[in-house]
Amino acid sequence: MTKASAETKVTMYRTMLEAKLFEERVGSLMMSGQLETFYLAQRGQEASSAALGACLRRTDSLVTTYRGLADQVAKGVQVEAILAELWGKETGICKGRGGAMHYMDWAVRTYATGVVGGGLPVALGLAFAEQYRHTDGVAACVFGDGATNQGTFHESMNFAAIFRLPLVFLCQNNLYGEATPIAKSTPIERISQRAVAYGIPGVTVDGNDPEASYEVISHAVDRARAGEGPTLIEANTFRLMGHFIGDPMVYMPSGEVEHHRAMDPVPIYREKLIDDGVMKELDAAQYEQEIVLRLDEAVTAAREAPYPGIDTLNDYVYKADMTMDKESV
Amino acid sequence: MTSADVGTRIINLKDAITEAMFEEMERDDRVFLLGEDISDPFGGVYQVTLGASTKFGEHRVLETPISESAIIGCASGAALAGLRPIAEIMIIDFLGVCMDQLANQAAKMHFMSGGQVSVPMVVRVTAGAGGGFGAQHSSSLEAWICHVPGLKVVFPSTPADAKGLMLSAIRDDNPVVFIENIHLYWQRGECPTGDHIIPFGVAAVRREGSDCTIVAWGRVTLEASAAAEQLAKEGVDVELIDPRTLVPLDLECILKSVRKTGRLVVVHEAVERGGFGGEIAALVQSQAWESLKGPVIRVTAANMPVPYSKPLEAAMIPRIEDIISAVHSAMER
Repeated sequence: MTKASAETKVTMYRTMLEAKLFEERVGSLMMSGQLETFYLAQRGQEASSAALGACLRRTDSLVTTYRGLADQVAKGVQVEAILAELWGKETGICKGRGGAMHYMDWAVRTYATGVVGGGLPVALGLAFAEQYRHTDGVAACVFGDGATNQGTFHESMNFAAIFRLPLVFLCQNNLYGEATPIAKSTPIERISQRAVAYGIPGVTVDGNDPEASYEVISHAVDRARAGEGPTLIEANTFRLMGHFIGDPMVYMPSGEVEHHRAMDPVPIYREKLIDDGVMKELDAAQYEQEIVLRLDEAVTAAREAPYPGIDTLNDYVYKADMTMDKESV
Repeated sequence: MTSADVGTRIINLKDAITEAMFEEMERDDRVFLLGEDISDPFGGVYQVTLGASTKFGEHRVLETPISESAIIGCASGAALAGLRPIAEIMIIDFLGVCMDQLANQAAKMHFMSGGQVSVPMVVRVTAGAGGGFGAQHSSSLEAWICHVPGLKVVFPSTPADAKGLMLSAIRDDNPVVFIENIHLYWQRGECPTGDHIIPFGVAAVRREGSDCTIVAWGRVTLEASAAAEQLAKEGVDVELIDPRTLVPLDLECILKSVRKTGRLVVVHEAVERGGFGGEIAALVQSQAWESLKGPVIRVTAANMPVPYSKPLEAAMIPRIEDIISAVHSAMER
């Protein structure tokens, strides 16, 4: 087990803060009518995402979901490019073709899907490619508790196990699958128990504790790099903004969100790092100011950027070069 | 076709597919196979991959659990990472099991990413009735995948075409579904050796004629060919076209033919409703209306699942007499 260095701790905090401030900004842009989109916030779940990002190399792959902003930021995707994508602009990371639920940045090897459980099989292939090429690269796949009831979860766990793929399965258990609480959908106590069925290690961790998450995730990543196969990690957490921004959360008992908001991992970690002498109050304030400024500029840039031209409507349906169509051959 | 190797010999369609895959695996280290039961000594349910694991090693021939979504997902992810997988889904009916991975993930990755990534993968599937396997193992579902923008759909009916199109499928950077009709596996024909490439979107005119165009693909190319011969004896001169690839479609070849003959009969083994014959009919009617002497006629399976009982199964597939009858109708105008 590797413990996070001081430098890593601060990096994780800054990632968590960037994700938090980004999503709060998206929320306020939507509520004020400036940005129209369907947005599923990872707000509240940043700690294990930041820890995962700190454990992965730029060249490792990360598959996430429609609730993956913190994962993507942790992997190195730039907020400017994401914001422009949410606005559907040509300058967006996917030129407005992917949008809130399916944006990706291949320069840092991220992929996201809007289909619950749909990313796990893809992660198999990304991990397999590392094994095929005899590298020590790994793939990680982030998904929620809801996805663990999807057939693809079970297929993927089994497949990864039988081939000892270098894959880290990170389940962020936020206690809800869309509008259904976990007790109504899942008959077992811990998602990590499911690992037993596939003969791989399963571990539960406090997903709101970035340092505990870092230890567990780095161990899984090390195992994968060493050819020891996949691990299932269950990171317990909570989604503070409901299923989507604007969700009235009618299906959640009153007081539940407030209860979890009081345990918001971002301000708690800020306090811890300052108390532990790892980060100075002044630096924490500076990080916040820098991010706020960056977001201000990103909003302006995204607003002013052009939409994709209608003359490009049919682009990217097929890859046009390296095709065997008669016009090209 | 390159001048490097112009030999030719008679082989069967399934061996032509095997040859193409093996040649490409030798040429390009990134190509690998994955699917159920594909390793030696079994070598795949129709033995199309027989010999692969012995020749190339288990490293490049991944025999998977029965997990269609995992197979297609693994192929997609590997393709994203720059490998060139050839995934086998045993029977086209099983696409229902993995359709999200194929239609929502693989087909859309290039698009949703704004062109950042490509998915150079091939999905091989068997299709077709006649084996007595019944409704869940005998369908012809090319229409399902033709309807997914982002996928290419290849459906060869001769050994030479199977080889040339498989080489192209592997080299194309897009996801290609390669359909293999089981009735055609043992069809024999001349097949070039070596690097024989057939581009996509190029139909084959099997027979030139001036009275009526027949477009047919897959298994029913046999029935259509037999029908054309019989019609010739009556003095009806059929032009027979095999599109070979449905997406992209060589519409220009079909239009040129219809402008000459004025009549079109489309034949496919798939059921009539929503079949790709309707797509071709609509395209031709919109672009060659003035040339048409009458409506486009479709000869297809009835809208039903494939029955198990042999006489029922045989009755369901378009027969030579059904095609002749359709051409006779077309010739009335």
